[in-house]
Amino acid sequence: MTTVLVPPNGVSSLIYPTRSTAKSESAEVLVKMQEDIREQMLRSYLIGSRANQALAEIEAVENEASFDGWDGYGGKALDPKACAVATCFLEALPTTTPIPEISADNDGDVALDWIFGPRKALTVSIDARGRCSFAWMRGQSTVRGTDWFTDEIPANITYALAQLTA
Amino acid sequence: MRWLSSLRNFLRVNGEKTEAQKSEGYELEPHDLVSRFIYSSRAFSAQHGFAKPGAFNPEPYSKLSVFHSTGLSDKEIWGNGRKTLSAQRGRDKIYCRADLSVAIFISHLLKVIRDDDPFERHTSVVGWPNNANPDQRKADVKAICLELSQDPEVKLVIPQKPITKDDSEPLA
Repeated sequence: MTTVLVPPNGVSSLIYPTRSTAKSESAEVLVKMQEDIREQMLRSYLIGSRANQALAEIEAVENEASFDGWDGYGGKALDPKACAVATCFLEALPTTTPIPEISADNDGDVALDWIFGPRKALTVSIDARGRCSFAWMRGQSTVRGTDWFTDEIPANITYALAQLTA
Repeated sequence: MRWLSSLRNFLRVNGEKTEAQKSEGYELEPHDLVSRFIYSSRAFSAQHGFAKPGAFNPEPYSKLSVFHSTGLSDKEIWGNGRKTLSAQRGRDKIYCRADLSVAIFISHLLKVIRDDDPFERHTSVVGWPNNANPDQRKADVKAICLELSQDPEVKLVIPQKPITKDDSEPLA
């Protein structure tokens, strides 16, 4: 059977890693084409420098919060495993998504914050297990929850980003 | 009788506290002001002019430390902030502070207790969500921190340069 990958919630899926399980010859050709385009985009100067910028930010945050008490209030040192998971999370983000502001939480998690305007924001904390605690607001509504990052951006967070960038 | 109200407020803030108040602390009023000193350069966005949600995170002790700043001038608040600094890494600079009224915390069902411990005017914001499920608790706390971060009544005050212990300017 030939499958077509539909962008979730209107977000471009070109930079999502291919996840098709289709077996037919034409499906394999489609998957290969998509993967080629994705690799091409990731190699491009603009997207490459964007990714590098995010990864450099993670490294800087890791350095700043590498010891207990880094925040002046006895916060726990950033968990290196949480940094590794956050790095994978950032790499899996659609290239059309703005780069978040990256910081550390005082319980050792990595915090990613997107601010799109007054009361239009998303914050996600990522721990070493891939737990994504998130809260986002749009106007008077605030949504909170927990989801898990394995190898793709959790649906709740993709949805939030789509709502906030619409 | 506005002067009487002002006098009462002055005495409440500056007057002698009973022994019980001294040992247990006392709850601040909605109109009181508090300041959250920010010692990390990544806990705020100078570009957007707001403190990030993490700046209000009460972990790891489930209480948020703030400074009771009612009645103090800007210079006095910084002077007191400077007194909290030490040579200890992570506590050697104040990059900015977030000023907000106690009413904002109360609107999130939090309590603001002035306890004067470990320094005078130290205040603790307590009553954070305490769900037995740690995942749910974290999400609940994050939602409040995001609300605080995005509240237009929360004023971020950024000095021209970070406040350090050795600044030549005399302490207020």
